[in-house]
Amino acid sequence: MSRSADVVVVGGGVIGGAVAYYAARRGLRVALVDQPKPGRATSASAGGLWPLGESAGLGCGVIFHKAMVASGAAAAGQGPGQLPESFLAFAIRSNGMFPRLAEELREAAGMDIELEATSLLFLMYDEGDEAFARSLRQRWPGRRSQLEWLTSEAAAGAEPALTRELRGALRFHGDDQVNPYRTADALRAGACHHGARLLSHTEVTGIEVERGRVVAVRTRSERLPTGIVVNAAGAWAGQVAEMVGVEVPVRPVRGQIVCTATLPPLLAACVSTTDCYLAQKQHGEVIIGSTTEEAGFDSGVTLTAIQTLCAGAVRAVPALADVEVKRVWSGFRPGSPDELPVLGPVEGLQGYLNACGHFRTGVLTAPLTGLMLAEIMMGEQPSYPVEPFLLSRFARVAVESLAG
Amino acid sequence: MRMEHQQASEPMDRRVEDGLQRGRAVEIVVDGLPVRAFEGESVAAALLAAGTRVLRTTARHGAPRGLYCGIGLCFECVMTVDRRPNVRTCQTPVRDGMQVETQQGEGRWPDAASRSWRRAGA
Amino acid sequence: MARRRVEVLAAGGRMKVPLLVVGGGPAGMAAAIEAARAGLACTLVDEGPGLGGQIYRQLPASFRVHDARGLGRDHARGEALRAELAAAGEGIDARPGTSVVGIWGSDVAWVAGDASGTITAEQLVLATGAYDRPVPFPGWTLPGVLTAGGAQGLVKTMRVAPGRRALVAGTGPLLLVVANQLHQAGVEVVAVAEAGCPTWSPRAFGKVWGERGLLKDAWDHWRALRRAGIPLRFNQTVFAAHGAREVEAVTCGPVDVETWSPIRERARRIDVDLLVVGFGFVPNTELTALAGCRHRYVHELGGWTPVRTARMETTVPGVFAAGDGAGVAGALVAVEEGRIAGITAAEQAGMLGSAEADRRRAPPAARLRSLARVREVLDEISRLRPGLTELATPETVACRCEEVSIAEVDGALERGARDLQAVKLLTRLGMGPCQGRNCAPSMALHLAHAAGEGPEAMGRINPRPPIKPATVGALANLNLHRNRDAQGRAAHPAGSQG
Repeated sequence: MSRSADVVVVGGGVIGGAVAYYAARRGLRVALVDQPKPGRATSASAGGLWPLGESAGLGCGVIFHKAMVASGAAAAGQGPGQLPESFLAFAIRSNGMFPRLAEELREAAGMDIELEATSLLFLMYDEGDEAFARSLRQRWPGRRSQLEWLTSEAAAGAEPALTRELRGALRFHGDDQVNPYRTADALRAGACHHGARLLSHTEVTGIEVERGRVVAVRTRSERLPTGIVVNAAGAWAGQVAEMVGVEVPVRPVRGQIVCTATLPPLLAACVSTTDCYLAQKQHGEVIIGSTTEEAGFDSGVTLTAIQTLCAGAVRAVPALADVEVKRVWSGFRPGSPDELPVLGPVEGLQGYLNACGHFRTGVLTAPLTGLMLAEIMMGEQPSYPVEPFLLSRFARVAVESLAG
Repeated sequence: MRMEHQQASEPMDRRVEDGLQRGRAVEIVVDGLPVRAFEGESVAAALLAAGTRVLRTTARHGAPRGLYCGIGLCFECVMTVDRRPNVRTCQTPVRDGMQVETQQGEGRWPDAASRSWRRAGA
Repeated sequence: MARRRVEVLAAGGRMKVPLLVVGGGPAGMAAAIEAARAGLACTLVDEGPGLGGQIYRQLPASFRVHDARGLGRDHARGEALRAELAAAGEGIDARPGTSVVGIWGSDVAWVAGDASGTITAEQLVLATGAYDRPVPFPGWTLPGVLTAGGAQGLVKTMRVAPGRRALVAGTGPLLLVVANQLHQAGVEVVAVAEAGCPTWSPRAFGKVWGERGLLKDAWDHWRALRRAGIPLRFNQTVFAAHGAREVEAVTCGPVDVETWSPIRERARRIDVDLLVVGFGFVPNTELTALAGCRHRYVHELGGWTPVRTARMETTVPGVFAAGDGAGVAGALVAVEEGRIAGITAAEQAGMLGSAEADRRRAPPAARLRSLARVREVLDEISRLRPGLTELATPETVACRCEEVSIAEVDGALERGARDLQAVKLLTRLGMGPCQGRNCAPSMALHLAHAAGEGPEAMGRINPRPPIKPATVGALANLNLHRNRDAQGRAAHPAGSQG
């Protein structure tokens, strides 16, 4: 029996699952190789789909910024870093693919990814938060209707569980959520439905290259002849790229998350504050995230993070004080230097494709990543320009800074 | 060494009465009805003494559950106690006037936001 | 007597201690006693309202006993240990009502209701005890199905009869004890179904002769059963519990002598309203796991247990493990292990010279050797056999919290899951509030059975803090040393230009 494949996808998280799914749907023979590791981002993540909020630096960005200001590493007057406009369009496009993808996966795999239209609320506690929200609204590159300014009364009316100590809130319409591990699971199952082969609990040990072309992927137990390998190894992408002598600057950026007991409906929207974000999942748990830390591959949790996140949650939703914490965990965001994903081919090596470096937005940008990669494999023009995401952008920056 | 004889008109009492003086008699309110209890007893024990063994129904299948491990590890005996859902009744001592409710699923959240406008499937 | 005046740590409290003992059962009390005797001050925390653990649990403070002799041997042993603790002096700071939720190096976080804090301990004795092994079978979630430990607690401590007519099923000497206690509480016990069977031989007698007191205990329990007319049926077990809302009947029957596979064609139905199940215990290893101790799977000791030296040292320096939490062996063994842990902690703290420490360790070590011989005989009877996993049917609930069925677990296996962690992500098994305590042990055996491998190959559902219930508010109130807890520096992504 032939073990060869048109494509070998390395990494079975939400990105690898999406690449495998869209490639298999195009009729490619796909092998999806997955080795579960502690701290993988897909199963650790909160599953927020916040193209607008993330672009504006909400979610983890604003929490991280506040921590930086507190430690003196950033100036107070400025808001958190905002991602370039090209990312906003990319993220919105990918987010728009979810309703149809959810339907497809329900049919192909019989699985529900628990997509919910929640919107995202940024809470304004003080003058600084309000000024930040106001400037966000003024400079908003998208449609005006995507944003809604809520007075404190309106916020209380929409979300009675929120603290009354608010100056108001800024709502982002179109920011949703899914169940992240259900999504990855459904994508893998959907890929298998379209003929992909899943090699779970399988570690990739090497990638064979002959005359500048990828020819096979080796695992501990077998050799998989293939013309294309996709690096979707998340925080471990650098190690996979090293196998073919490519340097991919992706590193683990730890995020810690607190998860409450299952609760009756408490929050309709996802909530972002300068202390934490909160998202009540369909199952009833409230996810409280998240830190942004360089801790290598240490998947532990810290008392400081637990205390800070819990205090932030109680400040936003006082009733949570009496709710039990079910558990605390951490995961590794695959962080790239400019926080944008690393996608597509690299120069001088045929058959190698990147699908990594998604940092905070892997779940959100998985569908478009998968679609674009499948199109590139088929030799087509991708649905969204891949140029801003090519690995070569870092080399250019390096050259420019040398020249400068 | 004996259990009180159960008569149709008298409330059931499964307390073992030999050689022991219980704490002060108190009354807890379970689903709106008074139940006799004694200081020092857990809520679960007081309910079992009164013959009540179904303490909650589950979220997914609505299945009945009751005391199982008795040492606070299994979370099967959780009820809504004084408006707080998910309280382990095997670990919670009774208090006079305590309000106890058989919990359905995750229970009710007293100050819950209405999520009625939230649409599934975007 | 010997009820120590206790106080709850102040909210947001933070303290430093030379020795922290977690768990106030037999092992923890004994460790504290020996440490204090050697002059090492120690803090003893336990989640319960008083000291004693599950086996030596005290009656509620508001209950008054007219005649303590009626409370049995365990009560007397517990009182003796509490008296010893009181006599050990002021060196022991006992704090019941305090739950440890996690360990970070030498920092131990605790909660007590809405209060919380940390204790920095130079040395740690973890004596966390064990809980009843969950064994799924059809109907095991019905109200009226109780663990042996749960039933015993109700009868012993709360003095409430949990039913009228009961079957007691499982394995091990505890079944006899519970059956007698139920009988004395006025419950009609229809039978004790012991899945194993003793194979008495002169050799076995020789092994246990040094512990003839224990032998007499067992003999007394057995005689009491006979006097009460309660049949003890070997190589039998419960197959299912039936009832619409509560237990109304059970099916039980014989099992294969070697494998304990149920022989269903010889099953019979009995009307009972109470089913008490006890298939031994599982060690609570959450804290040894969070402390970073290495573990190994030892079937006879209840599954995953910390690797230890004969001096109760784990693989992490300064962290000791003693009692059932380090391997299920019962209260008598726990006391001796606790003593050795306390003596060794004192020795390592410089309070005892090595010769004196050796001298103090000798008696408990000798008793442990004697008890180990009894253990060999008991294991012959009660070592769990693989056929037990065949009791569950596809419809049987595997995970009580998340209501995951065996069929759903098997579905996850078909989809490529090979270990507990993968099954968890696919099915939500173990994601409920019990953190997998009531599904992981049985499902490890189930997966191992399906894969033809050992349960140790099925991994674990990793314990996550908080390992005991703690509210968001209590954790928000933790008062921390801001600069010390810095395993992870804040990141500086180049893109966060601020």
